[in-house]
Amino acid sequence: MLVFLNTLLFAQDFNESLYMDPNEVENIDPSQWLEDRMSLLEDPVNLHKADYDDLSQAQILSQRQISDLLEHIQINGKLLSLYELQVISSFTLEDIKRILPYIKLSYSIDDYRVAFKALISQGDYQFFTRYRQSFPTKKGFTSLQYKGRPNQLYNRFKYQYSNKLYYGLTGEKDPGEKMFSAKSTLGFDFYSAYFFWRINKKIKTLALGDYHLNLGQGLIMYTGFGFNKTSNVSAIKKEGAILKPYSSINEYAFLRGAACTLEFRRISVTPFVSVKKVDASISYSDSTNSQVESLRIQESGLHRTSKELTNKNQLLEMFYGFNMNIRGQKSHIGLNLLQTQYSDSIKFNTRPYNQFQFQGKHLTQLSLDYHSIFKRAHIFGETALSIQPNEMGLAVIHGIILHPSKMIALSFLYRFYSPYFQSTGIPNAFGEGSSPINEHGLYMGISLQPSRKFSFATYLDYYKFPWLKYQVKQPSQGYDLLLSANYSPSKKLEFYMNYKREEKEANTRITLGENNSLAITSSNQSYLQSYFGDDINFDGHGILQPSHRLSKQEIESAIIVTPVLSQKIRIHIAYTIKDSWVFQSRFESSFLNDQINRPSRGILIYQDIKFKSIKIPVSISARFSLFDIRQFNNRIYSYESDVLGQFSIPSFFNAGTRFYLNFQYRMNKHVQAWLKFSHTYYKDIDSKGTGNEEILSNKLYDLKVQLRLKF
Amino acid sequence: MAGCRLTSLDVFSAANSIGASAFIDHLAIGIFFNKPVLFSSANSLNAYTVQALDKGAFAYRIKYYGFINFQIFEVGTGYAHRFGEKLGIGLRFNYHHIGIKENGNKSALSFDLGMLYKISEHIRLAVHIKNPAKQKLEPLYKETLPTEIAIGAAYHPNENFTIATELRKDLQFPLQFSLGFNYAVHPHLALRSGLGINPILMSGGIGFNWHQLTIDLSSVWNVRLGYSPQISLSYAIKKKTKD
Repeated sequence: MLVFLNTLLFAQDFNESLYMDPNEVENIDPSQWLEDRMSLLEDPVNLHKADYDDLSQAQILSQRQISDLLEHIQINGKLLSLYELQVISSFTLEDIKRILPYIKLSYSIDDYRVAFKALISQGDYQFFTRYRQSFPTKKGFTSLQYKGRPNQLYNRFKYQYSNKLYYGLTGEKDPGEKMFSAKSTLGFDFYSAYFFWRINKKIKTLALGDYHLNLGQGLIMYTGFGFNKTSNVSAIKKEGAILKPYSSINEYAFLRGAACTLEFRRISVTPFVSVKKVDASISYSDSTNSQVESLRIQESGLHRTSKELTNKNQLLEMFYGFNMNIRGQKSHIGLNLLQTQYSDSIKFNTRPYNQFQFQGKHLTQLSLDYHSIFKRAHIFGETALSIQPNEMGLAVIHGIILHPSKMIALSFLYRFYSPYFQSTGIPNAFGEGSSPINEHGLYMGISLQPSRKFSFATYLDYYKFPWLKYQVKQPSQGYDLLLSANYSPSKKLEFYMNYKREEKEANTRITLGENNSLAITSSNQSYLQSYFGDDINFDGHGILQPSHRLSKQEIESAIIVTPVLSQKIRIHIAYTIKDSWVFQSRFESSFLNDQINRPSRGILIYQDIKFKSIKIPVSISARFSLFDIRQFNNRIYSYESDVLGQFSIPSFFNAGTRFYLNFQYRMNKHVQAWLKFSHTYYKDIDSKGTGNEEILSNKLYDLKVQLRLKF
Repeated sequence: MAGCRLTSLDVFSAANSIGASAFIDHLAIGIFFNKPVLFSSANSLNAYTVQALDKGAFAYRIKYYGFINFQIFEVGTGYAHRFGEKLGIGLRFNYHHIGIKENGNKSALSFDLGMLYKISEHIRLAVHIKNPAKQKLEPLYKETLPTEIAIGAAYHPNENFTIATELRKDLQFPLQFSLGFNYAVHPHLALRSGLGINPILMSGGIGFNWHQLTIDLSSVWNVRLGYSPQISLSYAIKKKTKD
């Protein structure tokens, strides 16, 4: 049991080499991924009963592994032991160790026959409570702009019976939000409740309250978690189940209402409806507030200041529609319809870059998605239309994953997202942008595992934005490249190296450095000359500086679109001593060149120590990091161990050090406690952050305490 | 395959690693046409022949590239010798002729060295050095012919699949990296693709085999310059066995 629970702690340590792109990190909400993992730990996938959908939706195996496993069972019968997985060629020992907590072999009776009273009371109960506070306090608190206290509170009750029935309630308050305010009369600022039941073979699922809805490849609606570009090149396909219970604390990305999945033979239908109030900022063009000038949805979920409280629950958002799937043995085709209705019209000042974005009260979206497995090829895709009275928009994504041999995976993905494609749902499709709009792209990935000790992966993604984007004043293009190599000579040693290169066009401003000047180099000369023409100071001095022809303001207000090149290299070693001590060392370097200003470099180095033992009910992890990254756009992200259920990927920028200590204590099988303390020191600055988030100190502290009761 | 041809054991070794020609055991001819950057006026046409001997092969190539105002013409003759069953080493001499309208013509000679080594049944390694003597095209302005070293490796996990990678370094340009694969989905049909860095490019193509005839259609896509479609044909005349 102790081994299991210790595995629970380190099950959070997902392979961080998957993440290299800051945009990727900033757009994800991994809390739902963690929730799914925790649910799987409580009720592992039963390999005696799991079909292709169950294994795909668990997201613990590659497509190749799923196909090989099902083929093995078909030929040889049910598995006799989990260790039989070793005879399947696509399963390495490391893969089996990684997935062991999430799988089981069980001959239990069909849970559909269990009485409802037993289903709702004889499962597992869990209660979490968490407290977090940062020091020193931010300016928003000292200036009384933030109405609440600086702590963060989280409470959650969760019930689960196998994978058949779930219900729960979550209450959460962010730092600065006030308990029992006029807009939070029940106490917490945010509440979420869900009831999720897999009833029988005809009513496959019933979801009441808050739930996730995942349609196709995410072009019109996909509130669940899904990776985009990572070193796992065959994970480009979205695999989530259509309906899942929602138990996270993201205050926007979920549906609230009811949904169910009805199944008859090979056809399943999932009607859904969601009605919830969302935050919206409204501005008026007149003093009587009768004429709305702008109305935009706010997704942050923060209600600290008077303005943020005014925006709370200002708009009623309704989603309704259905999904219909026809399934074959190794394929499916699905039709999705999503209607969106708002109580007021979304409206904003139209600028060139946002002129095609959705405005109005109503939108219809329709899509067709499919997947098919043919021998060693897995084909998938989705085609979607957005329909408004005056225009239609098209979005298309199609991909193929090939396994020509047991050691090699190839993946290709093409996407076309028209600038006219409107999106009001919560899409999460593969791409460079945050939504499937205004983008064309082609992705190619290769992974190679010639032996159990060595693996190599690479991908290249080229994309174009045919229309303007925010902070890019002309159509633009770019590419991402990743080279990744992993070497594990034994169970106790792992080494990996990643090289990430991205070049993407963006608006660039000139930063005059020392002596109020900028050196003219072979890199920036053509850009400066094309913008300023003859006004540039090309008199042989090789510097750009204010003159009678060009003022400082003219220079600093210039916006030039340039291909910004970002390169990152990471070297990581992890080694285990006597099964209890794990040491991890990392060196990461970043390089940024916007073709105009002086290139900037950054470095992050850290050393981790982790202790876990089956004899002692204590686990500890600690890290000391040193960083020197002078430019914000060059920041480096690094995943940290955290308390159970929490995800931490801080970004490092400026120069300084960071230390954290993560402590877990298991009192008995019912009670577990965690504590995380961190300290960050910034050299050469006196304050951090801006506005209400400003902290007048260069030393920051953070404390997190969590308790779990389980019975 | 994004230009990963250094380890290929076919008639096009006459243009790539000359060392690979040592492992060809028949007479083969091939032609290759490339339209660099679609819709430009330039064209590239190449012809190759490999003539197998007992323990080696002669390889010949003719190359034309250019358009009305600028033309490059190259002829190459090489010999590759097989040492045992695993190693092939070759030497090729090249004649270069460059003509620019209203600026005259220039000619020069150079040589290339190549080697291919079969590490195992599944892995091949190749090296090719182009113009190691840094021959000059124009001594007065020190204009040299390209000098380049390329190292490639190929891995064949089974008879249907090949993955290859290459590193190339020209004295005047940054290091280039390419990765490509060939997947035979059918005995008569193969799919190919690849990616490269410096420049950033992707490639894709298909190959048809019918007895001794092979036809390849492909295109390279440079992220800045656009598409460059290619077609090649090769024909292998099998060596007659002695009675």
